[in-house]
Amino acid sequence: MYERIKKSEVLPGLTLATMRTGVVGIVSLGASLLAGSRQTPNKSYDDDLVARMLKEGTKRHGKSELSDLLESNSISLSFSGGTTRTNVNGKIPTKKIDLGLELLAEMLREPLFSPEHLDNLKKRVVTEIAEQKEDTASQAFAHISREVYEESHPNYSQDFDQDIKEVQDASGADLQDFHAQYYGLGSFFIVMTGDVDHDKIADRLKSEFKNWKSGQTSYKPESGKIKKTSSAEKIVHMPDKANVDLVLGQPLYVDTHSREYFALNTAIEILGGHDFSARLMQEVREKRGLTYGISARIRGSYFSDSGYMSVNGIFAPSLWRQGLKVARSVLEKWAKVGVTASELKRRKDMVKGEYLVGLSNSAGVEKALMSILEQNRDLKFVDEYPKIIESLTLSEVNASIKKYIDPKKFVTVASGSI
Amino acid sequence: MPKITNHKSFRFVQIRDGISEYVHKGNGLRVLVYEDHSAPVVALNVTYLVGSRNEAVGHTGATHLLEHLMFKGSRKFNKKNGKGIWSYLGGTGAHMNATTWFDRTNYYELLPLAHIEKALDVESDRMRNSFILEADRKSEMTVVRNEFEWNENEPIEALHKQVWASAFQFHPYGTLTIGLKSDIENVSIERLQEFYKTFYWPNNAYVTLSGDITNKRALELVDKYFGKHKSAPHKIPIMYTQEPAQEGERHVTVRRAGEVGIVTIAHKVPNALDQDIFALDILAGVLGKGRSSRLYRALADKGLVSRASTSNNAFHDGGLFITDAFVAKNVTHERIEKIILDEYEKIISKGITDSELEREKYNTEVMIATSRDGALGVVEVLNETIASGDWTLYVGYLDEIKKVTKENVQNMAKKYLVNDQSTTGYFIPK
Repeated sequence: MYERIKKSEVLPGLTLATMRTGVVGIVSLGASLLAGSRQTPNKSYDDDLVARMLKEGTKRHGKSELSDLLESNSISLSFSGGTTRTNVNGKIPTKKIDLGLELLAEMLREPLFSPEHLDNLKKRVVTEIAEQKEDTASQAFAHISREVYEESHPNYSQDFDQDIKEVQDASGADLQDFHAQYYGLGSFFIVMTGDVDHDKIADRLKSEFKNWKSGQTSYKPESGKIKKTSSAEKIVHMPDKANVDLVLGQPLYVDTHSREYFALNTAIEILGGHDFSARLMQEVREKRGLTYGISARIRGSYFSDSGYMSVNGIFAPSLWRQGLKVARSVLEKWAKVGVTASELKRRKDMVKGEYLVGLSNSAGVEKALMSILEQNRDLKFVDEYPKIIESLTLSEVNASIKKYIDPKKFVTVASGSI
Repeated sequence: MPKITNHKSFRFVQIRDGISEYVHKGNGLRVLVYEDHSAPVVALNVTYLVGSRNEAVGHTGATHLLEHLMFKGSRKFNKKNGKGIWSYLGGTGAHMNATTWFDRTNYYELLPLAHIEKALDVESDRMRNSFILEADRKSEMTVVRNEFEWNENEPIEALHKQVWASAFQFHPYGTLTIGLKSDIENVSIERLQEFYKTFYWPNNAYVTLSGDITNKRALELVDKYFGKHKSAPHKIPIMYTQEPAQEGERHVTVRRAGEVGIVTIAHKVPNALDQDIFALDILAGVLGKGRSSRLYRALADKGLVSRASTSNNAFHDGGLFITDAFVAKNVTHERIEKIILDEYEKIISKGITDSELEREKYNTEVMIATSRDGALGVVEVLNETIASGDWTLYVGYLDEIKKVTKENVQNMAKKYLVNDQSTTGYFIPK
């Protein structure tokens, strides 16, 4: 696939990657700027509020005019802040690419920051946070993050009421400062896939983003501020909930560019990947009927930060304790004995198929390429990934479990009507 | 692609917009094929014309529970012989699953071309040779019950259950597909087996293939794997219950612990093949799709709700035109309801603008183009139009949308957004 990708440095600090796929008349777009909440640890919502203010009007087009312009041309662009980066996702009809890129640039470069629009946005965001507050999964993951990370870690989730207060206290001046400081050319990626013409897009981007100020170019991955945990248990009591969300987490740091990362990730996929043949699904759902879904994965390490391994599942309030017991026993056996040669072979075969399936539409290709760029890998990685997995040995995979995983360090959080 | 009209086992029906339709001469299985050679993958979907509309009190949720049991094993694919369905197909890297809704049940796989015969083999065996065992019902019942519990955790799900139940008091659409908890727990294996024996036949199914496969090869493989099945020895039962006319507005309330209130306003609409549906789809877009929609501007832009959306949910036997709004703190449900109804009234009295009409038409055109991005998108949309009663709705939809006028939209608002046909729901956090 790599030979079908076109990449160019459109401007210093702006990288464009494109790939033509089979779709006609449609382009999938992703953009990513190094502007995240880790820059403003005491104002962790500023990044997201800035991202969302981009749709609240620009200096050239008022809010309503901008929405009309986007939607009457079927240009969808959504903006969201994250711990490290601000992301744009969208679809643009091929014949509207010029307008789409013009509006993208305008929104990124010249947001209006109207105080009235900010007030209304804050009210909406406060309501969204209130929805998370009543959601068992959001509560479980917020609490587990507090168990595995120190408060100063970028992935630490504070209390939802603190989130609400931060949003209510956010000032237009702070948001404009954030925009001025972190938005700009530097580590700015744009990926467009589908019915695309690379050279035309590159020319357009060059004209739209020329003379844009510099933004951030690097950040320091956080690899130390994780807690020492034990097999403690925390219950989050929530009334009137028919379902319990259970999360087990063990902090860890593994270099995402190392073979060990791929080995550990492969081992965790065998334990709790989305495949129904994964051990947890087989034992907890298929054999015992205790859950609709249970899985395991590494979280929080995407930007080379320290993260944690999670096991999470959903259970009836009367069955969660039994579910926990079975999940822990599967986890313990996996950590002690490791995976088998046949499981590893099967996983390798799956990856070959998943590679073809995952990259069979323009949105899948866009996400894969953006992930590669954001993690500072060469785009050749798109073809190398299945080869890396294919080259892993059983001893490498099992050694990674031994090195990084200790079931005694998994803290448990259960949220619901317990 | 070459049109195949004289296949020994298939009767050619039509080709529309690149999608070819055939019927198997031996068993009545309907087949749709769409070639897209842009990636070396194929999507396979088998749609059975049975859904929760074929259920009644005592066995609500049975179609969905049966769908789960259909993964537990069949004569050729089972755990005992080391070929469980999930492990056999999952090992190919396939993206696969099944879904059940009001009017249909479907099983699908998106997988590398090299493995397409494996998926066809599984689906063929699943169609006629599934085990449907009591031991599997016991273990899977609690899985499905947990899916029910998981849905129940969501306030919007809890509210929609009550709204549909109030709007459809006799027709099976009044019970959402997941069913009642007591029915999930107690439906007998005999009932599920009966369901399987009644509905899982080639002449009650569509096989759809999309992707890197030629028409010729697709027909050859479908014949190889499904041609051996006989058609049902009985008539597939017709679901004849009709909802009696609604004669007045209805209100439901759900009070639970929670943080955010919700207002849902629903109005009855005709079936998905009715000519009125196209203008109703445009109306839904104008009212509640995107930031330039009227309700977004009247509610979300003012911070009164976190979001508001409108959708026209038309199915085989009718449906509901629904607006949902998630209410901000210190704002009353009544105020939100009034604003929504005022916006409805503005369209009833003054209609929509030229630019709103053009916007919705263009967005529809782009949405349809987007559905052809990858092999799975095509079969997903076809699956829903098959369930509606006519797969060609997919290829004819845009032409019908283009014919809609402003007057049509205003007339549909007048005809359907009337109090007598409404059901309003409040989720009130306590």
